[in-house]
Amino acid sequence: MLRRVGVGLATVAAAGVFAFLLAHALPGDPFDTLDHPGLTADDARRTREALGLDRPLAAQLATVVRSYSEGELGVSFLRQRPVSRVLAETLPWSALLGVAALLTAYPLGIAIALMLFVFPPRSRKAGSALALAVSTAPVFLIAVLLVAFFHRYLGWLPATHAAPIGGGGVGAHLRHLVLPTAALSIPAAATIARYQLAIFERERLARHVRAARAAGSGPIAILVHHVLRPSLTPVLALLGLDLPILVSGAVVVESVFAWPGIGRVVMEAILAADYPLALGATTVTAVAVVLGRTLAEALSPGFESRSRS
Amino acid sequence: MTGRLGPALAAATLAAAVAGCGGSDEPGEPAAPVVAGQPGGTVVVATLSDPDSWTPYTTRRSSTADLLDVLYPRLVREDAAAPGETFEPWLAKSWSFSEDRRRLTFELRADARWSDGSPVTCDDVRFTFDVQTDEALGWAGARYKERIEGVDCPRPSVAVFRFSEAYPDQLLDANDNAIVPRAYGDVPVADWRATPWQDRLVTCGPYRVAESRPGQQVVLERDPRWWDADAVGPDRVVLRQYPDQTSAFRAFLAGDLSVLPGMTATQFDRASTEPHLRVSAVPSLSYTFIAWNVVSPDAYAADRARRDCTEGCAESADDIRRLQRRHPHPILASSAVRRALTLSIDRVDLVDGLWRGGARVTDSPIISTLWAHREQPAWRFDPAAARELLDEAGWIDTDGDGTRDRDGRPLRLRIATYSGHPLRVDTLERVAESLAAVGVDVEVVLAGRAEFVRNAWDRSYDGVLSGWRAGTRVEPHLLFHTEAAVDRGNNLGGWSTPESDALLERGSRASTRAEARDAWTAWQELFRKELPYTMLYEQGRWIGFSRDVVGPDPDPLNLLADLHRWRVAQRGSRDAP
Repeated sequence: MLRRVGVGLATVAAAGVFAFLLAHALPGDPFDTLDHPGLTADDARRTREALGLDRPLAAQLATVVRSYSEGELGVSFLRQRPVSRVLAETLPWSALLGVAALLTAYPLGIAIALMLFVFPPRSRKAGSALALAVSTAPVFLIAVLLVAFFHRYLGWLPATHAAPIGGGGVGAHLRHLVLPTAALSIPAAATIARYQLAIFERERLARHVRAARAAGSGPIAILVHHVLRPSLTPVLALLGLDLPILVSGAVVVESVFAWPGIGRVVMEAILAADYPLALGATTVTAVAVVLGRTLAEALSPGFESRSRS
Repeated sequence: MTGRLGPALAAATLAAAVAGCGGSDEPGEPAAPVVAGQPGGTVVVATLSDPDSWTPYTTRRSSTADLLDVLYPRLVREDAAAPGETFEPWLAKSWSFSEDRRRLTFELRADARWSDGSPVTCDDVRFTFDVQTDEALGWAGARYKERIEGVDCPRPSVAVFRFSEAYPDQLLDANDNAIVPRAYGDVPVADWRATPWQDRLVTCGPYRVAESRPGQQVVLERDPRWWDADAVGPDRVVLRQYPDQTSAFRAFLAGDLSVLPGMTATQFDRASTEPHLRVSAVPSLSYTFIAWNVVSPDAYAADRARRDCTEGCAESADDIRRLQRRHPHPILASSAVRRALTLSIDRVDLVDGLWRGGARVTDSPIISTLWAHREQPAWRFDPAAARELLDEAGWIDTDGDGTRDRDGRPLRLRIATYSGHPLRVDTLERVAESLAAVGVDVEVVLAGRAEFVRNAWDRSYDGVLSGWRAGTRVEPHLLFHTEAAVDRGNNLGGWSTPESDALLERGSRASTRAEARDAWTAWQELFRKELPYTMLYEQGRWIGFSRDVVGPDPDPLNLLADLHRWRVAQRGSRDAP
């Protein structure tokens, strides 16, 4: 356990340092005067000096490490607010979208896989090919198609924002959640379906299944008790790997739907060379990845042993 | 069970979502009949970004500055018809200069109140001045306070600005920027940029902030404490954020927006055909130009590298002059060639084609609505004269390939613009075609922001097509003096002459407006002759309104300035809380 924690911390630290170096290596200046004729080079230099950006990279990194160890994530250049505050405002929205997408994608994906599994082989192949096409389609394309059909053509659902102008109740918020959730979960469900189907097919040929068949168990009993339950273990591991989306956000979907999550914020931060915010968001994502992986590993042995018993 | 749950769950979610309560985002709702504009109601204005700050002294965005000008009061308001010249009372009901013009006295309104109920007094004005000049904050506008010695408060309702000398822009300088409450003084100025002001806003304006949802919208509500609260139109103003111009325009067409502050020519064409919309064309303070590099490309960057200037160095105007002498641009150092290039571009066609006539050809970087602008005939599109000038300069197509050359060097120019600005990209492509017609080969460079900024300020291109949004001050010295070229400054082409510098210095240091006007007039004549920039146009701006919204013509200085004077037709569903 201690070793796991140590490895996790080291991973997060390495990700943070890498993000810091990468952010500074990328071209861009948060204080360029492109849009401001009244701002002189002196103004820009004074601002950089005030923020310590004129110091050597190693000194800047040391300051960042010290701040992080004290729980301070710095101040966003672009938004001029503490990074922790920006993350606190945006993470819940990304988490909401992520949870909705995961709760939709996994059951949907497993259901599709089951359906394909019981189909005749020819239909299964066609269905699998369709799932492949959907899983590889760009999320942007799916998002735009959903907007075109459900918003512009049918007029059923709103295309932007997390809530209507006047606020509205739970129902109004849910309506705004539908399209971005669908955009995220449809390709994810297709991926899960293909993955799960492959596992089903592998389990069908397993020794314990053949033994059950030989012992006279019916197809439904075999499916439920001997194929389905052990097949869900790898999917749980997949879920652990997908958990980081709750905090990393879905950049494309959040941009298309004007969803106020962290993904859109991070993209703006990177484009604007807002180092503190980009670094803070990357670090939070790294923590989520490590936790997700740890959770997946922790869950897997328990489920396996229950399945065997 | 698992097999049936997934699809059922999704279907249930979808059904619940569709059956959910409606609101202003229901595109299928039938339109209620429109009644005449009256006070009350809600106006929805599109915006493309969150406010980056909540005080005028910590923001870096012009869109945020416009909003903050509604929330915090200035001493006086500039008249958009004569910006920088005439003013109307605002927080100050009157003002007067002493005989020697070293003191400017403002009489403040007695009924001005902050949103926390406290009166607005001279203490707030003095506090604001202290903040503006505090080096710990490093406000870029502090340079405008250099000739203000201090603010005295003989009475709570009287603020006296003391100046070290008389000069034309005293009122402008005193009025720059909005007044903030003394109550903000509990936060050390050095911490202002990191302070979450939205949790503790104290404002004084026709509106105050009712709600701020980052990434979504800012909602303003009428401030009953404002001195003219009864005259305020809409009850609420929602600044709704959209990810891009296209989605904002789509919402505007669908009737979800009352105001769309800015649209492209294509959008203008479309909106003009919609009976429920109207479009107003207003002048702006923005202009587009091509800055010609008069120094050999990369010579500036190489010189800085030689002097190890990666993170700043002691560069001076003499270094710039040295480069101008020793490394003149082989093509663009000649004013005759620059004039030929200007004459080759049909700027009227640009204005008509890209702006539907909603822009203005100009030859001066001092905006035409400013007092110092010198109206002079613009260089006309004259490709024949351009060819003649190029011939005289020795640029002749000796090998018949369509591109002129001289001493083996083709007349080829790399002109760059920022790829993220579609209108400028269009403009540059049209310019390239025009120049090709007179034998100038143009390599169009569409650069990402970081690359564009780096190379443009390093003077690595032959020409840079860009634009500025000017203020109401007359400050060409910030862009054209030799000092403005130092240390990768905003003098993009690196052009300057002793005569130009002298005129710029005279204009910026003049003690009277008449003296300043003389200097700026002479300088603009010089500029027109030398053409370090080919000025393309002063651009206008199209603002879209729903026909529900009735009000004065949009203020070109700040669209939001007259929010309180708009009137809204009442429609039940739009105004539902």
